[in-house]
This record gives sequence, structure tokens and C-alpha cells, in this order.
Amino acid sequence: MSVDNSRPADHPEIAYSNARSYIIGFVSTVALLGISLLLVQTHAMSAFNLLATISVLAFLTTVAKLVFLFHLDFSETQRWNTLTLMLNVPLLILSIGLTAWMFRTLYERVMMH
Amino acid sequence: MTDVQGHWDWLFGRLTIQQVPYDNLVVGTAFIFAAIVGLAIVGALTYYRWWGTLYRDWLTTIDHKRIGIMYGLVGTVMLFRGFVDAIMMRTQQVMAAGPLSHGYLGAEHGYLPPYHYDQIYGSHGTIMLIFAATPILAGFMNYLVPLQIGARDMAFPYLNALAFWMTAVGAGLVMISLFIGDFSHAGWVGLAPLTELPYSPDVGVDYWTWALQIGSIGTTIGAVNIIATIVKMRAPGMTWMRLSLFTWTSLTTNVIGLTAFPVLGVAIGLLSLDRYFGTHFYTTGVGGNFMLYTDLFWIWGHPEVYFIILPSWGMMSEIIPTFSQKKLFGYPVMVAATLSIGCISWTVWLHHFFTMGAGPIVNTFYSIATMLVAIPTGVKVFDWALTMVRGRLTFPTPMLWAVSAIFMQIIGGWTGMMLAVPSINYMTHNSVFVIAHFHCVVMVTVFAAVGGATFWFPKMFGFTLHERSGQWVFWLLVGGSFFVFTAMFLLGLTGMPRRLAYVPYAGWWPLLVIEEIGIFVDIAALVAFVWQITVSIRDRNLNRATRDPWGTARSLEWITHSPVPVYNFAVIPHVNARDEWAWRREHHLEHIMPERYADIELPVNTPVPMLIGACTAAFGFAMVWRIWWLAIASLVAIFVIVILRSFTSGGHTIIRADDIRRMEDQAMRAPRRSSAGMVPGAVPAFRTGAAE
Amino acid sequence: MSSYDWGLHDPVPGPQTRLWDEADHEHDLMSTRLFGFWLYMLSDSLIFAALFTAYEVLTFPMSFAGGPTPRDVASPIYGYAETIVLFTSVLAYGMVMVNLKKERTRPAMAWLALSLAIGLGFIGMEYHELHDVALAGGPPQRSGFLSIFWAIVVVHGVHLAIGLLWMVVMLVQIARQGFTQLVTYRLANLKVYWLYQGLIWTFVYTFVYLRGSI
Repeated sequence: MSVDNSRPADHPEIAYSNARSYIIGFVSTVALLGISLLLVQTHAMSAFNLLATISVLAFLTTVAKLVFLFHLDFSETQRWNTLTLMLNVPLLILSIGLTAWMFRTLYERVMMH
Repeated sequence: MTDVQGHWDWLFGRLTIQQVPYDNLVVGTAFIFAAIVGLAIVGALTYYRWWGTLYRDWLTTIDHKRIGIMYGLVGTVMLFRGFVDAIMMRTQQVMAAGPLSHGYLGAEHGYLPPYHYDQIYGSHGTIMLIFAATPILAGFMNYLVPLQIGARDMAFPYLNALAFWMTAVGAGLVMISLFIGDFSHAGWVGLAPLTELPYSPDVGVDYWTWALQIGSIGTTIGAVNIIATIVKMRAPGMTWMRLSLFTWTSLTTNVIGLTAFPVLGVAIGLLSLDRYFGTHFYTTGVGGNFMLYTDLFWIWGHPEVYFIILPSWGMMSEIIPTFSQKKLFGYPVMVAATLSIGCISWTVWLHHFFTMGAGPIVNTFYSIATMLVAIPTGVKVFDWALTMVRGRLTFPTPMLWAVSAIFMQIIGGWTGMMLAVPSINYMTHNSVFVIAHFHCVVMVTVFAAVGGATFWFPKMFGFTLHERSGQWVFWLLVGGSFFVFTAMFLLGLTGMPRRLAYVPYAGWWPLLVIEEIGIFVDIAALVAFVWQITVSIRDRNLNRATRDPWGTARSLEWITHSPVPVYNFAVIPHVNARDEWAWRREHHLEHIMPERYADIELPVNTPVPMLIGACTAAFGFAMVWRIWWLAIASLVAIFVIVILRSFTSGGHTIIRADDIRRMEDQAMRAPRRSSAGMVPGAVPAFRTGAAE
Repeated sequence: MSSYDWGLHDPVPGPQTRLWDEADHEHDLMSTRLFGFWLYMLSDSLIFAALFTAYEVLTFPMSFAGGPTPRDVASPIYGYAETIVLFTSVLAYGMVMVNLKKERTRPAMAWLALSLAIGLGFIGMEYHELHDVALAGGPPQRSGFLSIFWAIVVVHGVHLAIGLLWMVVMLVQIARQGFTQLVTYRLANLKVYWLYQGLIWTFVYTFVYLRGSI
């Protein structure tokens, strides 16, 4: 993959920047977190459902950011970034999720509540 | 800032002259030994006028091969230190078995008081895993990965040097702790809440945290570099399914390095916050939870185990096909096994603390996850075995090491599967059975690394190692390890706890004696090793290596000259097959050289990584002794250096095509030509090239 | 070599076989460097994962040690204001990239300065917030929960502070050197860094600020 390193601004990873997607990204993420805030402030549902809902909204916010701000996709330039991120996410979920699970179990058994 | 016991002033922090244990006979002996070795090195450097070349060609280098060799040197020095720790521990236990055992040098039993003994096992574990195994493997990866994928250097040569210096600084801090202050007495895992300030009021734990913290930054940076190199810098035709197995394992291992080491950073960072700011992450009261520490530590710790073992398997996968004169059996499966071990390594960490008291379902989950590791590992063992089946087997030292590593792997793996069963684990937890198990596993790394060092030594230095003394090293180390660990398994099964400065039950004494005999056989192996190196250097002109001194090597790195010239490949090879060198040899293409050469552009050496390393060392030392002004000053200095460097563009040297042709012709014509008076490993081409 | 052959089978050499790549192709420097930085960001995400892991463990009632709870220290409304400020800074940085693409130096510097100023505003808001928490009886030494609360907010804040310092350096470099290759890739890396801080804040806001008030 021979490349021309002489005109940096033409590099595909710079060239995908565009104002429209940044603005869409900004508006959508602020709006999504706004919905979360509204739901929490009004106690719109039971605690567990509320937690699930704001988690989903946080996930959607993340996707919006990754798509509109980071411009992640499976194009030639972004393929590796997307792939490595997808491989990375399970590690985050594993370390947080499994820990939460085992300490919840632990606390139940040692009656620390 | 928390208050500390004892003296503190703003200029020297907690550092006083009393912190130098000059009155301790054991430490004093170590100091005299270190001083003699240090003086000998300085004397030799001065006598042979090597200071200039040391600075120009080594300390400031950003050549991946030299950095790899320096990693190896740091690791070997630390390996020696860790080994001395092991001898001291074995000797202490054999002297301190039973209530009737005598005490010497102020100890009630044996010759080491408990606090000193505790520091020795703490430093043994920390050194062996973090500052011996990790740098040695990083050295191999640095040296070999660019060669195996057909690149001229790493993706980020400057960062590579920085990563090395971070690791070296971490190792340096551990060494300094021997003579100034204490080292951690809480084991290499840092048993919380023992590591908290009230229970460990001196600087030992701080040495341990900062050495680990700085060393792990180095590992993370190195991981970024190697992954980016493998993904982005492969030669044309080097598809994923043509990567050599060592490169695959390096990739997997560095994915672990990239993702697991930050968790270690947080685990010990929070501990430092507890110790410096009085927060309550791991305290026993005020809402802290010391099991959180254990949890975070092992989230890193278990992947770290695979960080150490995977490149070793990679090396075995290179050595065994070479001396079986066959392709590696089941290559795609081997790759899949490597990757799946990397994945599973993230889901098993609770098996290090089954006894925490999490529910049976949690324990079952982790037990099954742990046992799953046996599947890909078993696949690997079978693949190695089937590679040898019907091969034209020869057994020079690298092959001996690789084959015995398989046996070690089987013993370590079996006992690992036993420990994966929670009900057995409850019985053997914190017994020396666990110690024997994981030593068998890390002995796989030792065996593979020594084998790999013998295997690639001619590629690195241009001459082969002395074979006969190498066989002595092999049989002595294997024999010694057999005595030590067989006895240790038995001790573990009879219930002997780990980390004992005083062994209360005299009935364990005979087995401890066997362990002591074993470790003395290991000392003989070390002596044989030193002898092997000496003889090999003495006879180097008789043993000059061609491109492929083994005659049956397979992967791409053997296309280069021995030792590898500074530019690696005069012309980047076009890769046609998985074992490119074997493919060329089998089709009689190995003597076809490029027709045209082009100018090669190489980055120039820079002292900046070394400077940042020096500032980091000052920072670490200052934090350990709470010398705040020095800590702040060195931190600011690091930022200033990084920013100032960003304003320079970094220079390049050009090696002209004519010179490359000349050097290539010379290397092809006379590979066995003597180059007396050279620094071992120095590359004649490098000097000529750099002068352009 | 056909595109779907992964290299599982070794070819037989023929007249078409190439042994050396004499064209000596150039690697895509920028793409390699951006990928390397991306890997670093993934590594950084594990730092936050570990901190959130600790947050999970240290938000059980035992860890409050009778002191303030998440509800007392993290106000969702104030947090939302912080969110808007930080995301605006991120948006401003997006505009830097748009102008970089068109190689317009002055607007790029103006947007960068704006992003920097808003980022400083965010740090100011965080300082104000933590100051209040400390005064209201919630310093990090008060309980295990407060230790991890402070740790998450401060580690995020330190990341931002380093990003701001980086912006200052880039302002000088754009002014002195223009959009050279080095400056361009650093700006692209800084973009990833800055956007990533916004991404992390999404989780800090959702799981510390909002969840605390459920």
C-alpha cells in the first residue's frame, strides 16, 4: 500500500471530517443524555428499569459518538480502529460485570448490607 | 498527605543515613559483590575505551535489535538477582525447620529474620515475573518481530527506546531498594491490607508500587508499538496466515500487555493513594474493601501469566519445526489456540482467590472457565508432538530445551487443572503446592527462553554458542528443577504453607533438604552457563554463523545476515510462503539476491528516551522517599522534554545504495571472516552506515 | 495471489515469483501513527474500566461508612450542565478538524482556542463542584465510596488538563510550522484524545451522576 505522505490534509483520516456530522453528533448525544436526565429526575419507572434504560441510552450515546464524531466504520482507513475497539469492549464489560457479580454474591453471603 | 512514622524533612524526605543497612551482613555482602561487579564493568569499559560506543550505539539507540539486546541484558541481570533470592529462601527454610533449628546473624531460626525473609520472597516474585521474564521476552519480541514480518524497524522506534528505559528504571528501583531502605514484605502480589500504611510504615511497599507502576508503563508502550508494527508494517505478501507463530504469540501477548497493564496501574495507583493521601480504597475500615485490591490485581495478574507464557510457546513453535525439518503441524489451529488463550485469560482471574467466599455459582463459573484453558493448551501440546512425529529429528540444545519445556508444560498444566477445582483449591490454597505448580509453568518460559536464546544467538551476535557446555547447562538445570519442584509438590500436598520464614514442622526437613540439593544443582547450571558464554566468546571466530547456521531454519528472519545489519533487509523481501526461508531453500532460491539496491533512510539515535528515563527514575525515587520538590521537578522536566522534543522533527540518516551493495557483497562473500577486536555483537555495517 | 487466499497454501515458484520488493514501498506513516495512538486510547479505556470496577465494589452501603452517598455528592442537573460544556468543547474541536481539512490556518486556530477555553470552563466547573463536596463533609478520605468518586472525577479531570496543555502546544506549533505532516497527525491524535474524554464523560455522567439519583 504505497502512499503519498506529502499532503497530510488529504489523508483519508483527516478528509472524513465534516461539520454536519459533528453537529449531528453533538445534538444527538446531548439530547440522549437529556432524556436520561429527564427520566431520572421524574423517577419515571422502577429503579431497576431506570438503570436499564439509562444504560441503554448511554450505549446509544456511545454509538452516536463513535459514528458521528469518531467516524468509525469498516472502510479501509477505519477498519482496524473499529475492529480493535470491538475486541476491546468485551474486556471492559467482563472486568466490570464479572466483578459486580462476584462482589454482589460475596456481600450476600457475608451479610455486609 | 498522610503523616509517616519517623523522620521527615523537606530536602531529603524520609531519607536518612540510617536507611542504608550497612550493618547487615547479608546486605553488606550483596553490596560488596555488586560493587565489585560494577567496578569491573566500569574498568572494562574504560580499558577497552567502550564508553563512546556504549553511549552512541547502545544507550541512545532506537534500533529495535539493540533495544532488544538491552532488554535481554536487563532481564538476565535481574534473573540472576531473582535466582540469588531463591537460593537464600531455600537455604533459610532448610536451616529453619523445626523448633530445635539454630539461629544465626540475629535470627531466631535460620539466618534471616522474618522481616528480611519476607522482603526476599517479595522481591523474588516481583523480579522474576516483572523484571526478568517480561524484559527477556520483550527483548525477543523486539528483536524478532520486525525481522519476522519483513520490516526495517518497529512502527515507533523512539517509543520503543522509551519503553525500554521505563522497564529499566523499574528494575533499577528494585535494585536500589536493596541498598537504600527496604523492599516490600507483602509478597509480589502485594497482600492487602498488609500493604497499607499502618501495617507497612516504611518505604518497602512504595518501592514496590513505583517500580511496578513505571515498569508497567514501559510494557504498555511496548505493547502499542508491537501491535502497530505487526498490523501496519508487514512486508508485501506477508498475509496473516503466513505470520510465523512467534509473531502471532507476540501479537496476542501484547494485546494482553496493552489491555491488562492499565488495570495493574489502577490497582497499585489506588494503593498509593491510600498510602499517600489517606483514602480508603483497600483499608479495613471506613468503607474500604481489601478484596477489591485482590480483584483488580488479578484482573491484570492472570492475563499477565499468559503474557509470560505465550511468547515462550511461540519460541517453542519456531524451534520444534526447525529441528524436526517439518512444517509446524496444524498451523491454523495453533493460531486459533493462541488467540483463544488470550481471550480466556480475561475470564479466569477469580481462581486466584476462590477462597474469598463468593458463591458456588461464581466459583463454578471461574472453575469451568479455567478448565477451558486446557483445551487450546492441549491442542498446542499435541501440535508440537505431531510436528515431531515422522520428522527428521535432531537434538541440539535449543531442541532439548523446547522438548523439555513441553514436559514442564504438561506437569504445570495438570497441576493447574487440579487447582482449577474449587474443592481442591480450598485445600491447597496458599500452600507450596501452588508455588510448585506455577513454578513449573514459568519454567516453561525459562526453558523456552534459554532455548530461544541459543537458537537466535547466532542471528543476534554472528556466532553460535558452544554446544557441549550448553548441554551441561540443560541437564543441570532440568535435573535441579526436578529435585526442587518434585519435593515442593510433596510438601504442598502435606500442607506446608507458602512464605514461611520458619518451618514449624521438623518432619518437612528431609524434603527441604532435597529442594536445597536441587537448587545447588541449579547453581551448577548457572556456573555452566557462564562458562558456556565465556567459551563461546573466546571461540567466536571458529563459530561464525552464516545466514542460517542451523541449516534447517524456516521463518523470514533467517534471510538476513548474521549478525543482522542495521537496516535489517537491504531490500524488503516479497513473501511467498509461510516459512519463507524454508520455502526458498526447498526451491533453491535462497542464493538469489536483489538486483538493485535503493538508498535506505533510517532514524538517527537520540538521548531523549534515556533522559526521560533518568527523570522518571528521579521521580520514582523521590516519591518513594517523599521528597516532594524532586518529584515535582522531575515530573515537570518530563513534560518539558516531551514538549520540546515535539518541536524537533527527529533526523534521518541515509545509507546509500552503493554502500549497501558493498556491505551485502561483503557479508555474502565472507560470513566466517574474523572481526577481532570488535564489541561482541557490534555490526560493522552500522558504523559505516551511520557515518554517511 | 488471489484476494481470498489467506496464504494457507504455499505456491510453487515460477517466472512470476517475486522474491524482493525492489520498489521499496513506503508505509503509510500517518495511518500507522494514528493507529498507534488509537491503541493507546483503548489501553486508557481499561484504566477507566478498572476505576468503574472499583466504583461497583465501593458503592455498596458499607462503603459509605455513614458518610455522604452518591445522591449527596453528584447533582444530575449540574452534571448535565457540565456535559453540555464538555460536548461543546468537543464540537469546537470538530471544527478544528474541518478547517484542517481545508488547510485554513487561522480559523483552525480560532476554533482550537475556543475549544481550549470551553475545556478550561469545564475544569473550572469540576473544581467548583469538588470544592463544594469537600466543604460539605465529603473529602476523599471520608469513606471508600468518596475515595473512588473523587478518583474517577479527578482522573478524568487530569486527562482533560493534559489535553488542554496539548492544545496550547498545538496552537504554538500551528502558528510556527503550519499544517506539516507532524502537526497534522498530532492534531488528528488530539482529536481522538479529546473526543474520547467526551465519550468517557458519558459513562461518568450516566453511572455516577444519574445512577446515584435513581
